[in-house]
Amino acid sequence: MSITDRVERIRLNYVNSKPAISYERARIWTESHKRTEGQPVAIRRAQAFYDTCNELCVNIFPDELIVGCTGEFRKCGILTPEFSWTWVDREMDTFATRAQDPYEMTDEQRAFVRKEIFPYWEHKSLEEAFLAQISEETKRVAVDTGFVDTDSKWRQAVGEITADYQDVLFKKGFGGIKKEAEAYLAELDATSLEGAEKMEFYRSIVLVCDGIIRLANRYGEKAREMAAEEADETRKAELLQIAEICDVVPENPPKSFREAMQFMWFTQLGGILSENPLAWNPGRFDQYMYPYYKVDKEAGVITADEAQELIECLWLKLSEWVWTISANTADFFAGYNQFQNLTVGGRTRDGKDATNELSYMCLKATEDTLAHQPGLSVRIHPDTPDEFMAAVTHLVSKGTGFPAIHSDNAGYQMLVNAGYDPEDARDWSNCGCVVPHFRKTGEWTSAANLNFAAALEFATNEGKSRLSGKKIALDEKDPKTFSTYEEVEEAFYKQFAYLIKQAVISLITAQRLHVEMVPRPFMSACIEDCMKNGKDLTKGGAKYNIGPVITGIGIAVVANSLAAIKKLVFEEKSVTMAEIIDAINNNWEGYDELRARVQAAPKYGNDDDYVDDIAREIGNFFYQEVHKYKDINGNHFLSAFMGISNYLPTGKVLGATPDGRKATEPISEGVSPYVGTDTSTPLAAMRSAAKLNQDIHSGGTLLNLRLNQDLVATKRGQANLGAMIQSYFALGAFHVQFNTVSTETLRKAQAHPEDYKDLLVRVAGYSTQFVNLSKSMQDSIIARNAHETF
Amino acid sequence: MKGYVMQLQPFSVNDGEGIRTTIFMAGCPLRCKWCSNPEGFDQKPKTAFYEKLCIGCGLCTTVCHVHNGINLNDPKQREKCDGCGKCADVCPKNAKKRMVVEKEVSEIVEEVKKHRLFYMQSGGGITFSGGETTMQREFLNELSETLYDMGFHLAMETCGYFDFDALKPVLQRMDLIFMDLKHMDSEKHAYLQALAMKRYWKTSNA
Repeated sequence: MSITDRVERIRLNYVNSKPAISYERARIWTESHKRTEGQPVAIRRAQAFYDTCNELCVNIFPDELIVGCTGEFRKCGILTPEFSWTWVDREMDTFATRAQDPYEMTDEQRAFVRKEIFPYWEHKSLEEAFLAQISEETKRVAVDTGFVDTDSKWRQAVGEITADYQDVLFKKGFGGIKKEAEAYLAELDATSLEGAEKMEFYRSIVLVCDGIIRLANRYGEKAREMAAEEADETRKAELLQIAEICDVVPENPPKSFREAMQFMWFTQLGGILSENPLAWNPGRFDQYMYPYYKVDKEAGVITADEAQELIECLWLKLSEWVWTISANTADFFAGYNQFQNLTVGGRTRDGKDATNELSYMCLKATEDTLAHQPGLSVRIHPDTPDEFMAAVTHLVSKGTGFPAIHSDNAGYQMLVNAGYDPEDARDWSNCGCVVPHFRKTGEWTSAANLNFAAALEFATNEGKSRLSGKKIALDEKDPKTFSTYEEVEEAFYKQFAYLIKQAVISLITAQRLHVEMVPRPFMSACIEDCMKNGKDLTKGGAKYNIGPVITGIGIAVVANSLAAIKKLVFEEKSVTMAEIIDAINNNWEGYDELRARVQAAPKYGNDDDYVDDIAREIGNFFYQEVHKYKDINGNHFLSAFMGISNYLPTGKVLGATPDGRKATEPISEGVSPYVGTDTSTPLAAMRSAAKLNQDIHSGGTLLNLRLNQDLVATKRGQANLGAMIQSYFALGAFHVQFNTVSTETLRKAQAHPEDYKDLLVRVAGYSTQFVNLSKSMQDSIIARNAHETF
Repeated sequence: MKGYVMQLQPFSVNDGEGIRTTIFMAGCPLRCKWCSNPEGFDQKPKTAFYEKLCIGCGLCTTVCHVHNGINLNDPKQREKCDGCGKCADVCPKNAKKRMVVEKEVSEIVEEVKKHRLFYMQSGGGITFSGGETTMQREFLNELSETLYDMGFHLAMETCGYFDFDALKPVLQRMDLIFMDLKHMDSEKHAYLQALAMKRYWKTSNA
């Protein structure tokens, strides 16, 4: 239940309304570009941003205390044709009916977009440039194949930024940033390449600052207009207050908690309008908002309840906009998620416990609103206060899948391994899914999805796809002729390295295009050092420029498959390679007994070294191979084991696998065991996952566990959960998240979605409404083993 | 030293404080009419057959030295079965299971010590249960001594039917003892548990 009636009304609207596409932003963006032909691209994009802020419809919806929206609808998704439009053209006729993440769109809207917007962007979009420039080979492996996927980096903007409120935005306000840019401009001239480039950058900054200030002021005007017509005295006063706030932020540093909250949302809105980003992270909200809260509370300006209400309003604002994506991307990132990660708790920069009153209020806001955003995460260190741990496990017991639980120390270690200063590393927050991140960073945190099980398939099928028969990867001999286990392993690693190489090629191409085509002045304004260096984020203006992250999918399936082959074929010699290959070629049909024996072989997730050692080796190789490569700024690529929903589309394109999995079924995600095979206890699953040297995978690692509700039904049970979490982290692991909804409830929700609209579940790295997931996604969540206690 | 064990159960949260591993030993002096683990009444090896898990592959029949078929729940086949467990070893679906096995103290210690960190963080440890754990006094003594010396928190679940003086060294190592008083009335107790109360009172008053 929400803290106030107001929030409850907003919440119900959020739950019950369908997301709709607005083309307003795209229309204005296009018109603006028509007027700026011939200008440098950074200026064109900054000008388009300004024009959007100046012309976009301004709406204040009923009950809102925090204002600012992306279009004419309350639950609204925008289009960004400058990145891609061809998939929109192909898919928008079925937007409303597609299985995953449908959007409402009218025929009139579609006609307008096809007539007035798309034609301008033909041959001008990032997507088209990318597809024109990659080789046939890379296309065969890495475009819409499910074997290697990078499309979120060339059909979309990068996103993946944590705004620097602490040192930039709250300190200076966008008015201050603008003045700084103007001061730099005054000192520069265009007599050198460097000078000319910097001037261009600072001009783009001035434009975006003017833009966001103008947008806020227009909201002030609108609020005053609405106040003049408002009959209800309370609402009238609220609107006038909103107007006052919009007059001063985000131009100026905020002077109160209320102002800071609105400032924060305007910043978020600016980012959304500038690039429709994923993982545009609020960051360490409880740290940078606390000083304002503390002062206001002590001065009697605000009560805890009023602050709680504002936080809940913000949570719903964060949840109402929609990240518009293609059907392919929606398979990988299912559930209308925007991955705005908000991280509470942990340690301060100088190493003290950072938990404060707001940390608790954030947990409560998620519990009250059941909003799927922000992506709430917590940092747990060995000395995390018992009360906070209790609040965390209490929230877990609510079954929302929130919060994501992270080891403070592992995150620190991952950043130090990636080259951060210790003090900055200690100040980490999450990006998007489970990526340890920092607010002075430029990084592609979720750049490529790499299908490990595809490498195994190519190794055991002469480089061909088992489902299509097409030759995709490297040549390999007939798998029936493998005569030692080492041969099988070698073949796997060969294909594996090849897939990694294709991912890198794809990303280098994308990176170069981003620099040329889509600089990010608004986002750059939010990151320190871009100003100092006079460089856009795309050109490496941030303090830390970290290499793109390649995330591994299916390590459990591969480890299980290799273990089965090693044991049955080469140790026990009770089965031949030929039999296994025949079985998987036939999708196990007619091979029930063999399948049963293969399923009985050691499985990752049961604390069995036989298979866990194989998994560890794969993880280590993955790190080393990825690390060999450097991006366009000379930074090492990073490895990760994130989940998101990538284990579905990657499974769909594969035939049966030697671990007993059937064709097209989902593979495994993150470092989680393959669904249903962790038959021991969650302790065993944790021990297996902890063996993977998690802290070398600086892109983050992810473990999903389902627990029976009984464990967390009482306070004492929640204390046991807290002990499990601390133990898991003491073993060196980075992250865990729990689903505690019963199978019964999930099946009911599947049958009667209208009664379960606000049921949240953990997918992998984020939570979303269960009823918003496609049936195959729902089934895959239900299939996860629910660990019982005894 | 070996003892008769039904199973080791990790992640027990209802057998004492925190997260524990429960060691269920076989053999019991009582015959409670409601016992949920009657396979633990004695220490004879026996093999369970879970019909629901069986896929009918017949691998078990190929290793059975008394020439039994698949269905051990059939009384004739049950009679012939000597619980050697060879069928359980080959069954791919764990549809056949060894219900009572002999284990070395060292084997048990290796298994339970894996979860040390989880025990520590939760205030958990190891619980001896069964069957009736005190029936294998020497085995319990050696096992509890080893685990005691390793610093684990120890708990015991017992029906109380044991020689108090003989078991004192073991009892002294326990942090927690659960005694299950089956029935207050001696006659009813005799009927239900097949043993008179007298000895009981002696123990529980100790």
